Amino acid sequence: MRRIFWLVLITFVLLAFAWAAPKGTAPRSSPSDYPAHAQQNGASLGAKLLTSPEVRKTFVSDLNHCCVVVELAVFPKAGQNLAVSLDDITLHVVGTETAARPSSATVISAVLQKDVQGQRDVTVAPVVTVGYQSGTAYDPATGTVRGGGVYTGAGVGVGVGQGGNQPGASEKDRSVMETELREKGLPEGDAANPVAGYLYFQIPKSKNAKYELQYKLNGNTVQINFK
Amino acid sequence: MRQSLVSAVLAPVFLATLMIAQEATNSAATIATQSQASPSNNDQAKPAKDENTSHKYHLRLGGGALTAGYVSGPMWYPYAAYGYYPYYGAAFDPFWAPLSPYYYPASFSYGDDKGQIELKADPKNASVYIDGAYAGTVQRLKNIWLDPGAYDFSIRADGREPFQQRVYVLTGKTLNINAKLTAVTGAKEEK
Repeated sequence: MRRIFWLVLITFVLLAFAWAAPKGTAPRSSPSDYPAHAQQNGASLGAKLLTSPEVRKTFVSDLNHCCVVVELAVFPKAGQNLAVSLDDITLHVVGTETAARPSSATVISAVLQKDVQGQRDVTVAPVVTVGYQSGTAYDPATGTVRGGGVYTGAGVGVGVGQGGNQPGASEKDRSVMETELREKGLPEGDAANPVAGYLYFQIPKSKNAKYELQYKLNGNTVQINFK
Repeated sequence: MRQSLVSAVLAPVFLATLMIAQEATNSAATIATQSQASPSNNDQAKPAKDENTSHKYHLRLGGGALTAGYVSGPMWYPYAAYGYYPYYGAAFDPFWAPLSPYYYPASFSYGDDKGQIELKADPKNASVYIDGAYAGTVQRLKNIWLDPGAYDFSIRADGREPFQQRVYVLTGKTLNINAKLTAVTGAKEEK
């Protein structure tokens, strides 16, 4: 009886993990469909470095603030499983000593939240009043009696505060960003079929920088250069 | 001395908070696409005005009020610039419009802590489903305000290929969904 209980519990936990596992993106039909690709011992890689507009179009989370995003597809050799692990991947900035491993969705979402919370919000509220008064009015400020006529007023209110209501500032938003990044991230684990997904590297973006992706595939390092 | 006092107020209060300058980037519409969504059905994100999004300050234009009035008879001004105007008017709230065609159920109505989905789809009588639950027709759901979260968004109509998309809603962000449901292959052949 106790065995059955444990069996059911383990099955439930495994199912929960499977449900929560990242889904990634749909891999293209072949590695050559990606702008950059490489092959090693029958296994192939296809990759694409996302530009800022592409990142903005693909993600709700504002990844342009923090990261370089790469779409990577892994095509295992037919009939063989391939262990996909983020630990095997590194992105180098060519000509510099800057390199980074992909960051997890949890880390990236926390970075984005912190970044937004540090921003300031300046609100400008203009008020314009136009009116007409007939008759007379006593003005205690000046002690005079005014005649009627058109009166006008204008004012501007300025408020400066923290970006509490900015997208990504709340805990709920952070959770949504984490979900998005996790669901679109490259799935880890044994893969018998092609898998694809996004990788998030915490490297400051630079317009003219050239990047190089290194992947330890079957014990050998495969290098992909992005133009 | 005539003591009558008549006033009329027009107070279109712009409650909508518009983000300008750098904020335009933050409010730029972005669509989150999952693999099951047809790429041809995805809307393009609104172009951001500025590539560099790392500014620390955001400028908002908010709470602007344009007021006009008419006062007859003498008035007492307690202050030099502003007085107690016995205005009799009605404020206009653009987010509450039960008589307009843009009226939507309370659960999809505007909220400070919500994100917006701007929906354009063809045909207009197609049914919208959020997380599998019927939400209404396209023509009734042009603007949908949702709590932050990840949703399975789908649109279905008879004789059309269903549109399906995973969407991620963040506070204060607007997503554009532009879906044109194509006729199913069988329906095309019948024609």
